[in-house]
Amino acid sequence: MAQDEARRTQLLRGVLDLCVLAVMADGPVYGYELTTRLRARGLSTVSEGSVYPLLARLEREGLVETYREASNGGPPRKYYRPSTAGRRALRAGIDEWQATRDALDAVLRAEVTT
Amino acid sequence: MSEFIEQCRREWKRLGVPSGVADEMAAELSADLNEGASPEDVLGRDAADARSFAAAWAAERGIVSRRTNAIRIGVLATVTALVGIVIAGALLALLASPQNGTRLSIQPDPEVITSSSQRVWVGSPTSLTIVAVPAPSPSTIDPPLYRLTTQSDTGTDQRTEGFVLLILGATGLVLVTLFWAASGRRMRSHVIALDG
Repeated sequence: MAQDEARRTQLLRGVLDLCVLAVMADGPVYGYELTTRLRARGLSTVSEGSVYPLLARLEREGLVETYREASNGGPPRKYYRPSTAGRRALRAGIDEWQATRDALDAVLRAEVTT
Repeated sequence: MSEFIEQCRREWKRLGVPSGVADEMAAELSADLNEGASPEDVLGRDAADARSFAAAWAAERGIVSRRTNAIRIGVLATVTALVGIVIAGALLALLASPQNGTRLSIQPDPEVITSSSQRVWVGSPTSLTIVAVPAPSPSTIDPPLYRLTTQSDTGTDQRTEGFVLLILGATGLVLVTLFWAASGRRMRSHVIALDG
């Protein structure tokens, strides 16, 4: 069971930033909202606390833009959305993912049929 | 919730994060934490370790990298010095053997300087008196009246010094390794974006 979760984590590790950019492309998000949206899409292995460092990295790499907006009664929230470079990286990443997935499917299907 | 943010603030201060950046991160976190009933709601298991969370966040913002580099350089310099101490200690401990140990030293020549005073004759030829005057210091005699001598040496002192250096160096290396491993673990635990 733990091995299955570890494998899922490893598989997701290389494409998490892509998933984050894809979620943001649907609409700007703040940190906690990003976690809930990822969970709603089935990525329950994402650690909540790791989202903030990940967003910081994407911002440092220029892949996301940020802005602040007032929240209900609390301090202003920091929202994230893909930058132009981020959208370009998302498109390139999706192509790369699909090519990798097709190659892996070919290998794994062959293994199943033998 | 505020306690969690306070812990993060203390860690950022310890890491040398500029106060403006720390304020910004604290405000972002505070706004998100307002949505959950507890930090665990928003941060999950990461809520249990505010220091690691704060350190990882600051590292990904690229704020603490210079500090990390400075630590790396410091650790490298310390390790180099400690390795030098270990090698010096090992050489001393191995080479200072009692079987072939001799020590060269420079000593006043005992055949020339035999006492602290010497007697001289003073007075006229018909009335001579013997008086004692201080012997000249070896350093004032030209040429100097020194002799290069060899003495057997058991080597015990040097071996002890060597072992002390060896133990000190090895202990230092172990401590530096533990420090480096601990700080590296803390930084890595959150740089990875997923739970392992």
